Amino acid sequence: MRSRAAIRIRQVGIRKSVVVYVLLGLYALAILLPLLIMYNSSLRSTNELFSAPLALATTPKFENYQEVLLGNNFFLFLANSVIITGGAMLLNIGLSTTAAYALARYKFKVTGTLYALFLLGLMVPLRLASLPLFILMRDMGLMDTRIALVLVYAAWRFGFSILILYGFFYTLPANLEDAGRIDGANEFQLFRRVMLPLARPGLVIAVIYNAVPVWNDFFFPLIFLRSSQKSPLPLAVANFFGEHSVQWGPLFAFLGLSILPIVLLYLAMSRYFIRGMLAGTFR
Amino acid sequence: MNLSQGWERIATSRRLAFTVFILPGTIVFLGLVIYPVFSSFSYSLYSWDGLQREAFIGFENFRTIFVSDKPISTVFWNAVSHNAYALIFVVGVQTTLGFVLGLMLFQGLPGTKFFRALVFLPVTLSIVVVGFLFNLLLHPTWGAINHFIRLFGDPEFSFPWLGDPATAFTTILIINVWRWAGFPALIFLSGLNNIPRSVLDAAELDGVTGPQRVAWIYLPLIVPQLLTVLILTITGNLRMFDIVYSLAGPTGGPNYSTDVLGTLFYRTAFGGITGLADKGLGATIGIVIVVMSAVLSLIVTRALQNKRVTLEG
Repeated sequence: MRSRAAIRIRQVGIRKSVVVYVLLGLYALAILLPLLIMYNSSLRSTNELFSAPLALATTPKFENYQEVLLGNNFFLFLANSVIITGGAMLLNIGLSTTAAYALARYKFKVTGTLYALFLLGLMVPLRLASLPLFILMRDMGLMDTRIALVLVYAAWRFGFSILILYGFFYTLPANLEDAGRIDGANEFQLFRRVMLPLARPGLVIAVIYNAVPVWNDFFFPLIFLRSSQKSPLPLAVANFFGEHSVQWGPLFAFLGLSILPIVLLYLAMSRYFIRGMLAGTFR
Repeated sequence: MNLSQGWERIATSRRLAFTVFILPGTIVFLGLVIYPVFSSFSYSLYSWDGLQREAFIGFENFRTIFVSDKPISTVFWNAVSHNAYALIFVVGVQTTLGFVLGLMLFQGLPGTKFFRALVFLPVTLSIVVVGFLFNLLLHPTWGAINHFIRLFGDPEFSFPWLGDPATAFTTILIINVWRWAGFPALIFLSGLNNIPRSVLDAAELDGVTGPQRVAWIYLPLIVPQLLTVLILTITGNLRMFDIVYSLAGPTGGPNYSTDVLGTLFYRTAFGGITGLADKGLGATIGIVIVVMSAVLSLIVTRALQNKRVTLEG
């Protein structure tokens, strides 16, 4: 059987295919080696790491993980990340699906102006407006709370969600809406029962596009949080480094664990990740 | 009930629905995005004592940063020079690497899906975690990278990549490329995939192959993607913070050799670990970064606009 793979290699040319494979292979190695070294090192003791940095963990030791998981509250930081990102996404999607729907399906005088205003918000990096946000949060008594982060992230990603969801709602056929009205649905039932379910693929893309940078954000936790108990993972990693700078075994374990949730999710659904994370970059 | 009354009722309920749908998001957006952005502008026009606004001083903060003999001005221009170097380095290395990766994935050889996923993997990782990981790998004596060099070269080799001002910043930028290159790669790939089959076939019939095909067919047709990549690179670079913080600390050590506008903004606005915060100067630096991003993006857009080739019509 002549497989499609063989045909494609023949089309590209054997020599060119070899060059492409070698280069891609080298690049793959450059990506994977640091991560493999990290996980390998996380299974060795600090003393072993200092005497032979690159030796294989032939007899894996799980003490580092034990220390990080049990002794250093890793699950607390993981929970913080989940709460902050989850809360921000719930609020963001709640606010942005309704707003994007209104902008895409109702034509009033203010519609165009508001849409332009929301997109303008995309151009300004919110972190550079963090000073007024800092004072605002202090005045609202939200300093050193996870709620402050949820609010800021939901607002920061609002424009991005609008951009993505507007496109999805805009392309839904008008006769669906008419059919719903004839069946006696009011405007809210129309949105909830007819249009929202149809825009579900858009919701998935908007969530991925926004959740990854929110999950990975370091800047806002750094300025809004004071108590380390409330830290999400990126800030917890930085704090852990400050306190355990010479305990390399636990350090590698902490690093490895902290990226594990996103690596596992990515491995399970890389296609959606790639589509989602590139979604906002096309016009 | 006659027809016109019915229409009126629908119109009222549509107006009501629109208002209910749009209002909550608009309020949050105005309060937490538009208000802080505009307040930042006004912050920069005042002198500050801690968190208290003191007096209106016009553009004095801008003058202090741009042309005064105060230390902040020296540090500012030092950071600007690093951002400029970073921009040239990243546009050169990362965009080229991204384009080459995109081209290789475009060949559609067996296994492309695997490589595509792998190339993009670092983009999903937290920059701070990547930074701290390389912090360990680059350690002069215990780090894996120097150890690797010792195995195959000088057995006494020990170089502080991040501790020597001559190499620290370039090292950080290479790690930045490691983290980001998959992003332009996949944007370019999607641009290449959008080129109509007929164009590629016609080029093939005319004998346009190899480097000529890249220069005459691929590049002109992915100008929109190139523009997207350049704008994201410019704005991303001027915002650079996490990677420097995790590899060189908030002061951009050693001796400010890796300090960038992002870290300087953080220290000036919030105090960081060292020194007192000055909200006025901090807001000013923030605005300078925003304006620089906008101006550079505009220049790139203008420059590439007439290079764009469209296939319609």
